[in-house]
Amino acid sequence: MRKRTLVMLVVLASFAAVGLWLKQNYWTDHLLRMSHQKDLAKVSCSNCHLVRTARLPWAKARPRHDSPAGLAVSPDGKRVYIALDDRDEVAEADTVSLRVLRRAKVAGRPFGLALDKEGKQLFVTCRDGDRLAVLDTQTLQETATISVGMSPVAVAFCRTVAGDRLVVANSMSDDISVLSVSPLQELGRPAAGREPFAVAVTPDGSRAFVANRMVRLVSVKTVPASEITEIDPVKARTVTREALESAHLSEAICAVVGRSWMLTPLVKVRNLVPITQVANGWVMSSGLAISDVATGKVIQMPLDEANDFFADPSGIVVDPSGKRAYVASGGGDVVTVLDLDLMASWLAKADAATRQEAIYDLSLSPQYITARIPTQRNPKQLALSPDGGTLFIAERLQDSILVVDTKSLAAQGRIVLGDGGLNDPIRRGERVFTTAGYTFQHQFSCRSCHPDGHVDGLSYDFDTTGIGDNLLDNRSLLGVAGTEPFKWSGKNPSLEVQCGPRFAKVLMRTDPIPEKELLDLTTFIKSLPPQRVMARSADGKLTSTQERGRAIFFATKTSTGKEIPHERRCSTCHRPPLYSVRLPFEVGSGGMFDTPHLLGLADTAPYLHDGRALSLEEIWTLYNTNDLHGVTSYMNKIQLNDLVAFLKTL
Amino acid sequence: VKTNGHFAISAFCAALLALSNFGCDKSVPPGTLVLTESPARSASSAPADILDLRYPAGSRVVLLYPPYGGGRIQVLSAGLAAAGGPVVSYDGRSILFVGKARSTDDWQIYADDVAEGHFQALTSIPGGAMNPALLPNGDLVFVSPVPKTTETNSPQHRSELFTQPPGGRPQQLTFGSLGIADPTVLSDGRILFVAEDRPGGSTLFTINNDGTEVTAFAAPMASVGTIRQPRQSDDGRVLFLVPTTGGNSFPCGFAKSVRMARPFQSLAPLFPNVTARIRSMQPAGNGELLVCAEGSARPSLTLYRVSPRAADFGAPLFAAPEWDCCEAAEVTPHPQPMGRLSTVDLTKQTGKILCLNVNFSDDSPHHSTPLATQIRIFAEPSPGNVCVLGEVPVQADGSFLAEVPAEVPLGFEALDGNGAVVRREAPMLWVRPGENRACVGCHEPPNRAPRNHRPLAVSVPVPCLSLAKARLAKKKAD
Repeated sequence: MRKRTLVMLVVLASFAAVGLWLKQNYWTDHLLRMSHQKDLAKVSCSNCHLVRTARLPWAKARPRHDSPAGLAVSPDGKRVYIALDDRDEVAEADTVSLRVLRRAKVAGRPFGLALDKEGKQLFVTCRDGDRLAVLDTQTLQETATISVGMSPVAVAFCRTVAGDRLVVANSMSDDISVLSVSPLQELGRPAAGREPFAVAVTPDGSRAFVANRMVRLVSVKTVPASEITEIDPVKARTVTREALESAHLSEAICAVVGRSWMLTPLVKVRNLVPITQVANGWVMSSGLAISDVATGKVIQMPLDEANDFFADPSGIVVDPSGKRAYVASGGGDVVTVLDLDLMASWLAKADAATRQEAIYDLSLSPQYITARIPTQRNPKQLALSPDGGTLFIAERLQDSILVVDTKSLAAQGRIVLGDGGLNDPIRRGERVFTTAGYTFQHQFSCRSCHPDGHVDGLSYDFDTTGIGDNLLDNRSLLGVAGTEPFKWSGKNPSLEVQCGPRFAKVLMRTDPIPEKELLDLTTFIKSLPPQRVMARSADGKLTSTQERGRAIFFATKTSTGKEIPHERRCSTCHRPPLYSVRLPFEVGSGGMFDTPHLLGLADTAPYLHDGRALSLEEIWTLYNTNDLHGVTSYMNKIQLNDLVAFLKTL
Repeated sequence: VKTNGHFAISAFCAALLALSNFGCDKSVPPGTLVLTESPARSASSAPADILDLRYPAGSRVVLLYPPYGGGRIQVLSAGLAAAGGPVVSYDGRSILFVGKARSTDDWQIYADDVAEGHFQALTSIPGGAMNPALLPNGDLVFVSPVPKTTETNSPQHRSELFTQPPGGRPQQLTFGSLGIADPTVLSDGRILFVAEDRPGGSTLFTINNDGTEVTAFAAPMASVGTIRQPRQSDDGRVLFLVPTTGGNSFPCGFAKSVRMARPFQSLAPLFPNVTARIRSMQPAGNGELLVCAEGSARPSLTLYRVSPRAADFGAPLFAAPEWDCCEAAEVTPHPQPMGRLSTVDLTKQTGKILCLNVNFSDDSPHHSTPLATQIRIFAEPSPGNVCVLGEVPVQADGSFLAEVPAEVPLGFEALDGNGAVVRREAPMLWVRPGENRACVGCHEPPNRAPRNHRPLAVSVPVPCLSLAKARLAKKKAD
């Protein structure tokens, strides 16, 4: 017995000795050699190994909900059609009994809806299917389909002199599909701004206007602007591209009968001003762009009040008389009622300079806002009955449609689509993510900078270390599970730290989100998958260009055969499958920064910690002159294009 | 046997526990009010301070139980020479009020636990404390010292705002040259208070709960005069009183309101058809107000429950012979305001001030004011002792940025190219340690959101202005 114990002890001691020797002579050396970190305290095996995307929360199945997206009301006002993108369904409900009559399966995440003039055909954009489906409203069955651009989210029907047309906003390919209805074919695909998200047509059908959600890519210290793209639906061509200065996240647009106006809700952003405070709309506020189609002039008007804000303006509708508009506030859980006569009256009295300054005057809105209709969680899309007497409000995270009588502004009832999903922590977390209720004066929500969990394409100036030059590029939350630490400095070890007290102190300027809600919030964020890949072929295989780029990405030698130092190889820091070893590196941009993951990279411009690189190409053509961000100086333009082509497939 | 024994002991303990709780629920019945009552015929001794005026000797804080006609009351401030100004905690379980143990003592703030039925002093600050309010985290807010009747608005005896955590020491929140009174906590977590910033006039200001971001909330009301008791109502307004009489009795007045949505442009009378003068008003449930107003006979002050849009006050809710009902509040839980994490860094002694465009001013459109090229910043570390901290350049876009000493009143002068003052701000603002304070312009229109541009001042070295250097320079100059 004693002998056996002795042997065991000797064996254990030998293992320990070998372990110690390995640590001293191999392991530490391995860590130093492979991680290129001076401080190994935060380096572990999992930085490079043991990562399996299949185990990450976003790779797992999640509960589906009856979240209403697009709405369309039949010409006789008896039916309302509701896109249920999370269910791959379109529902038809009776506007009197407020009951769902039937549902139809429509594959590919049906999102935007439009009816033809007679109400016989329902056109459905399928956001993940990259197609437009046509449903017969008699049978609610799909009768036709056509491929459009990537991620179509909105469609408008218009009757033109050349026949019926459909105008489709393709949010990921940044273009607009113009289709003829009969035959159903694409006539053209003019370019839009960045992330076209909503379409409206003039009452005479001669023009279509497309609101774009993200700002155009401009230098990081330049005042950003999104765009309203004017389209000729007959010729399928772009007519004008109107800039909305310091405005973005427009998700709806609407024509006004009797006036030459297009109305676009927007977020007025102030990303260039140091975030010393949030009071008085210092970070952002909500507004409404009035585009005068006749003159081409744009006025931005505030939707907020001096001491209360109505975050994340989304859907808009205008009644048939052109006298009243309704704007949903997704973060504020209200629908704002605007008297357009009062607004026109104010505009007529104001001089040009006062009109241009209107958006900055937070006490202006009571002069034309006549009511705020409370809703349940996350009102988004709106629709009106043809006579304007009934307003339908899609309460997206409540799984219901609130029906409001527009004379009394009283709720008539709800079309109940689902149970609200409160048993699902991901759904609960999405509610936290989209509410402005945790922010000082309800000024903004998480979603205000991360629409759909993604980026707004802006850099913000945080004042955490004092007022100065602290512009930081907004990073996508899509696919962040497993990529901790967070923040460009890599200071925050978890999403709970990132979104907890730090967020409260730096941005919300309130108490932190309560622990239970914070856990739901981080569960939601972790459930967000990476952005859909833009540049992959249908079969998932790489093209020859992309294959060449892949070889460059994993290259250990330059094209002339010279060894690339390990720390300067792309795949050293951006190691698959997340394409990040989650450690800080100096890449010549002015400090040590956390290594971002590269999943969905193509759609997250601008790049680098302060957003100085407007494109992937610029990272190496403008900001990598010393080869610190990978050895790339040997590449010719074809090789660089190959590399970029590969990166866009990640 | 052992198990049975444990069971018996447990049952005995449970029974004891149940018995101890039975009949011991001391929470007050719904509808209970807390009142300040003052003797209707008080002895006319010379008041030493403004609280002596407001709450003459014998004033008391009482609970009034429903039905009010029965007049069943419980005195909460028994044993104090005078008391008043009750404030109910957000959970409805405790009541704060001001009181003085003896007539010669300073006024201090007391808390009464409604369930326990006894009070204790929360403050013992020289000069006394008044106007209690509560932050959502339970910290007490109050004003100190209590102004003497002969010293109201005196710069030598400025009242400041303090906060005090439960069981902790008072911490000063305000450092300006404003005479401060009547703080209340808005639903967004800011402290709203009255600042007597000029003779016979006052302005509503807000600060955060850590003393940062002092900001004018509503228009300077030159035509209105002194204002008192601002309160946020449920219908999105701030209500306040404008006293109409002074002298030896505490003034009553008329109620006015401003809308939160448009505080600088919406001044309006609250009860335009009511002629009775009001002593106090407090939001109650259902959007109504508890109003103590003058009647035609004794007692001179009676309690009403009215809608903010009422044409008249109707019948009194409660009146007691021999007592004036001066103040009233509902003893019930009410919504807790938003909280806020402090941004103050007490390891620092300075803060920063950023102005986006000093030439953006509400007087600019109407006057051909020369453009400012320098900003002179001065401090008033003690009343009347003003010293120039230095001058900082104004950038081409009108912006300037400066590091300034914390917790002293700061004033500003915008200077044109010839060194002439084109715009002046008296020393009434301050920064807290580590605070980054910013403004859109200099005397800019209120409730103004900034333009989205990158101020040039953030790209140049920040001038650091020191009080010590300023004092030294002043000494040399003298």
